[in-house]
Amino acid sequence: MSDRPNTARVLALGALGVLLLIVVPWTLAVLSGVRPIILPSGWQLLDAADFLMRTDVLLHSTWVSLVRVNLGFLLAVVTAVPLGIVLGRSPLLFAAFEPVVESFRFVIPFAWIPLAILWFGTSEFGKLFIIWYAGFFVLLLPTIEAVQGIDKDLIAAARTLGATRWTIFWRVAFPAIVPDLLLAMRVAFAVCWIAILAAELVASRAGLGYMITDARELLQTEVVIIGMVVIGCIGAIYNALFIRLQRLVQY
Amino acid sequence: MQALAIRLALPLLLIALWAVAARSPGVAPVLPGPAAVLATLWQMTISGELFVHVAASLQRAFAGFVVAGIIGVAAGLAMSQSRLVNDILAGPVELLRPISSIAWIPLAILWFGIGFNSVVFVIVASCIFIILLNTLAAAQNVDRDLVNAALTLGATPRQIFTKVTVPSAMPGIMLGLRIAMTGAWGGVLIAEMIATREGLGYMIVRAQASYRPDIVIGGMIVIGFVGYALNWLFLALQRRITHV
Repeated sequence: MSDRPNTARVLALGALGVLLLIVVPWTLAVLSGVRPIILPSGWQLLDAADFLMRTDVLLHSTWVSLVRVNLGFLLAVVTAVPLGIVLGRSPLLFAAFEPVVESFRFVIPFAWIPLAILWFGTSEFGKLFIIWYAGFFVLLLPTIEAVQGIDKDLIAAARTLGATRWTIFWRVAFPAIVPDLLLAMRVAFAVCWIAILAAELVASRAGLGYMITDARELLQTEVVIIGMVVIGCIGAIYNALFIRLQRLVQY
Repeated sequence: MQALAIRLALPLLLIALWAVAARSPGVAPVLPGPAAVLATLWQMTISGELFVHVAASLQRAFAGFVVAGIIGVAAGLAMSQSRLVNDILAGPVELLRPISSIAWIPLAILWFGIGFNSVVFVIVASCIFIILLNTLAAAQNVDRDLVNAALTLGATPRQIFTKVTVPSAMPGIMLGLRIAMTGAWGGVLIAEMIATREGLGYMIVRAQASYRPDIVIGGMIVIGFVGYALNWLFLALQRRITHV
């Protein structure tokens, strides 16, 4: 994998691709006189970035969205994982919960946004609810499957060696499902990140989602594009963090 | 019989709880009961209003899904066949992929205005990368022995591509398309909430603004049913195509 010349080639060709497919068409469009409302020039983007940094609109919006998504995600983890473990262990409870879980799974998180507004107004609670809902089902099903897939022989072996139920859970069962849990958490965080932006787009007065809708209404395309870049970077950073955690656990 | 009772117990309990909660004075204005919601849905079905919104949403989701499907599968297959194409396209793909589909909505409105084109653009953004990456992975993981066997038998590169690579990558491609379809259904709803004047997403946002929780909840039920039906249809189609 760490083949030096190979990496260089991939990076060079990747940069060439970005140049050919994004930078060159963009520059040509700007030079041929496309209005800045459709596509601002690089200088206008830099100007806007400078302005956003000085007024700390960008930092504040990013902070608000990050706090929301982390809180909602944590809520989803602490509710979905324990429930998933219980449902994974008991076929009876699983049979009872499955129809409910299956039906709610198809009512996608975005569909809850208007109801959340009716119930909670544009308060923080409504946003947390949307993020929690988005993450909950993405975490629940893989947790159940992970618990159901634990090697029964491992548990039996630990029991023969005289381990208590508590020890079996913390030393055998839980470590066995951690890799699956981390994968599910990575996917769930990505879904939560989409959900909070959606909620902020429809019903909010703060956050990155609000910042880009507001900028759109004011025809500040530069701000919209900068917002998109920040949104993409945050998503990519969290994704990389979870991948690193997954690797850490595997070895 | 007992199994059925276990499966039905919790849903029935939840519906009963919903009905009871809807009667309590504090909650009643924002939570109409199951009967009221069903009555509203029935009324909207008869008047044809519901059909208009469902048809609008499905039409847009389908248009975006087809565009993303054609571009995504074609680009994925091209990337799997040529190192050069793969390395060149990888840059823009990795750069654009992390930008969530939601973030494209304001830009789509600036570019295409309110309406069909904006929504379709957002749907394409929301599902093209899932399709592309699944196609690429499936086409790259084709069994080398199969390809070598075909080569030994004198197959041309073109024959290998159409008779070996594409058929063996089919299950992976179909999986990507199915995940993407869920993405397209989500994308159409959120885009309609902001960038249109009809469709299920618009219907529930307008109902919220005009304080009609019965239409909001009814709309959510319809959204769930359509999502379920699409998934079911796709699985049926997949079984016919891949014969598994």
